[in-house]
Amino acid sequence: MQTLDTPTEPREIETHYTRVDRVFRGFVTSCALFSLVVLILIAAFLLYRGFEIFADFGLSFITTSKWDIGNPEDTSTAVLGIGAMLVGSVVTAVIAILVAVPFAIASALFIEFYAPRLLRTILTSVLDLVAAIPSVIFGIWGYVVLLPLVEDWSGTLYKYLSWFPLFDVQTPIFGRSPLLAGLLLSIMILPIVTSVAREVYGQAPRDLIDASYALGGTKWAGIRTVVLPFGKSGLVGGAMLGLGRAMGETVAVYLTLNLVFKTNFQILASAGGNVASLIANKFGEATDYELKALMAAGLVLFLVTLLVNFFATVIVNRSRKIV
Amino acid sequence: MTTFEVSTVVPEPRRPWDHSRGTLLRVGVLVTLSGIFGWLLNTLTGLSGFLGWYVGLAFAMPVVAFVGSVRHGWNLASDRVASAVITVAFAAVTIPWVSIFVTVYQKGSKAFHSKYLTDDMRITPSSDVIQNGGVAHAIIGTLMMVLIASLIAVPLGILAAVYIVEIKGRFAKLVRFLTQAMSGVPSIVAGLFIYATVVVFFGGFSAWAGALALVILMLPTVARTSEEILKIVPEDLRTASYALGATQSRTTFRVVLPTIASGLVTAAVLGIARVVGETAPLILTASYFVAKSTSLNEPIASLPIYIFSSLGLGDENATTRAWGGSLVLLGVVFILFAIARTISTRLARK
Amino acid sequence: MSLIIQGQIQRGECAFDLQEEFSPGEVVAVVGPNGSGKSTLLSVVAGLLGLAEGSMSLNGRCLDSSKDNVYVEPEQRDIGMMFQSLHLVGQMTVVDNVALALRARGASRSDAHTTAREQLVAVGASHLAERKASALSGGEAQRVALARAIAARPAVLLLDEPLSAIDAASKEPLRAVLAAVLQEFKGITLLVSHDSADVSTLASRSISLGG
Repeated sequence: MQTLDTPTEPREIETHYTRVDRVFRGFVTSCALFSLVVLILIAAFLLYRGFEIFADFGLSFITTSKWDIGNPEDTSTAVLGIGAMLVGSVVTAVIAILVAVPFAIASALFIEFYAPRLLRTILTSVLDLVAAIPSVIFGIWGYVVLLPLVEDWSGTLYKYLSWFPLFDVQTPIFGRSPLLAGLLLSIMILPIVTSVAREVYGQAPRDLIDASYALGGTKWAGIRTVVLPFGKSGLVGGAMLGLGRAMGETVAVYLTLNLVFKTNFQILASAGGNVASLIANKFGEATDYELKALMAAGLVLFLVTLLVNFFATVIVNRSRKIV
Repeated sequence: MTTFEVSTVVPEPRRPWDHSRGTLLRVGVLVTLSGIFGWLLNTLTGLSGFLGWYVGLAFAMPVVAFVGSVRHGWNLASDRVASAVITVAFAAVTIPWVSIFVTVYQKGSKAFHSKYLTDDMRITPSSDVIQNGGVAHAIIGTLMMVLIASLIAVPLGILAAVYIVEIKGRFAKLVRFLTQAMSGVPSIVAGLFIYATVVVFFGGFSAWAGALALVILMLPTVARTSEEILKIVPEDLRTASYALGATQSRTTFRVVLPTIASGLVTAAVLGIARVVGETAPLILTASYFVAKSTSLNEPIASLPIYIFSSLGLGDENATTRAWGGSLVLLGVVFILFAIARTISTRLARK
Repeated sequence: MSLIIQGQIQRGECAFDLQEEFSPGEVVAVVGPNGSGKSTLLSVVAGLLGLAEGSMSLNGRCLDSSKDNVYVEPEQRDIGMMFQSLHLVGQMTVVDNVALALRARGASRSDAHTTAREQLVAVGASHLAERKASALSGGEAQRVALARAIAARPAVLLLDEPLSAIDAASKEPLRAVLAAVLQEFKGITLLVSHDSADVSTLASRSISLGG
């Protein structure tokens, strides 16, 4: 027996599984790839069903803001385009993000750094619970409780700020406006943005915060110089996850936004809609040709949210990896 | 001795800042002063009600905090102002939460009568007086669809997690990524997809179609949670099993999964909580029905659609019914959450 | 009919050459200071770790060879291992734990349970059969782990510090149980131990690592 001075690299070992394990691994692999199959099938079937629409209207399907089936017997008289709905999706989602993100940052900081320990565990659970409230309940609450409040606020905003194009309206009726839908969406996406923010803030290097504190810095100094810069990219990812949710929301927007086919940037006006609520709205009485258009709209929505989520996931994962 | 329990005890991070009695006194004075200011603002201007008062308080608190601390220097003042802003903002966030819970309870309980949970709407129009009809059909439909969806999505989700953690296959990263991407699929798109396939091919709305749409939405939650739980199983447990002659499949099914069984239940429950209130996909797949039904091939009622369709009618009694349905649905979500919480704390304590 | 190791064993900084042949019925004590590679040797035999170089065969079947690029997975090696830290499956009952190796070799559930119960009698732990493994005391768990390692009558039994981590009072009876069990056992036993008393009472010969 002799002891060697220089250990060599371990040799490459090929693994040979038993037949049972090969079957097992194959089975699990195919089940795991189910999500891939589903995603591909979704895109394929929506494209297949909606193909005629893309062929008939081309790019104008996503730029036109008109929904007119014309003569139901003659599909060539139809003019269908979801431009206004896409704008509506973006406007409401952007309002939601602009409102939700500052509050999400504050909530995450509060839960992570300000709340006493007991409160912190409770709040984490509450946050999860609120995230699980069904959107239809947010919708009915938004319709019954939030609507009159926002109508009231809209009046005030219009009174003082109507010189600013965003807050101008043709007729001062403020009912189910993009502002209402956006605010409701901001309440709905706040839990998920806060959860992501809390997670990345919680991973901020504790010793750096302690160091800042030990050098006579205040808690806020530690947060401002260590926590916030550290959590920046994670927060962006969380916000994008929220954006994806907001753009894909159906029922809450259906209940709180008047479906009007008009490209509307006036957030107080009672007109708008998003792609998802369009589908829910038109589905019930749709003609065959209209159904195809809804499939095409669904495909556009699917691809847009997939893209947003793709970037969100990449950003969130990267910020996790840095830790 | 070492036997294997799953341990998730995370050491509590150190917190150099602790709340002393002085802090509490200071915060008390701060809140009182701001509250008075909010009340003043409330009476002097057009702002009214609780929200008006809160807006006043929210703006006053940072100012009061600044004035009270600025004599100690800029650093301390900015710290106090930041604390005030963060606390006020977080408290503002909880206002809609409280409002939702309270409103659903207050308005929802008005719809309740002795037979609300056991009657259906077979012979009762939505606008009928509250004492007639109930939500039993919707509860049955929701339970059936969620049950079927779970039977499919839970095994698939767990196997996806097994693939990532146990098999560590070539596509592990891809599978994790796709599951995350799938969690972002808008629910209406899942509904459209099932409509374009199942409903069109098999000729009509059905409980089956509804359940399949829910599978798509449930799977990512189950997979993600299971993965997190599988990761806390110690590697030694697997090694020991191999050294006794157990194959990988046997190790996975007999040793690893039973060890974290309660964690997998949590994953399933969270998945169920995620889909139990889904409305949009069911409009396109299960549609609606007014009587108790257990047929899988027919349209079926569900709680979310019961709420949604009652609300759309604009009638006062129908709206009250929508709130009643909301209360039942929220109750279901609550119960599911309590179950998941209990199991996972028990798991953590072991 | 024997276990032959001719090669180099290496994990981290610890590396050594070994040329040994073990015969059935032998109880070989592996002794040496900490870090000399005793547990590493058991891992190599178990197949949890490959030989750095050389070959190993059991009853004429090649288990590991760097030259021919052969490597048989642990579950296909017909071994039974008792780990220093036992690694019982806490959520399972004791009898299920012991039956694990038998079930892995294809025994039916009832056969496996019968054999497992017999084995539990042999180690003096039959009264524990229906208990959860997580509810056992140190000495009880040690008996169960021994029963689990030997229950399937593997060709090679690997015992990593089987009598460690228990107080002196329970050590004597357990050593007697182990001696009795090993007396019956027809295969090869490799026993890692720090205690010279174990070596002298249990082993038929010993090999020493690391000097």
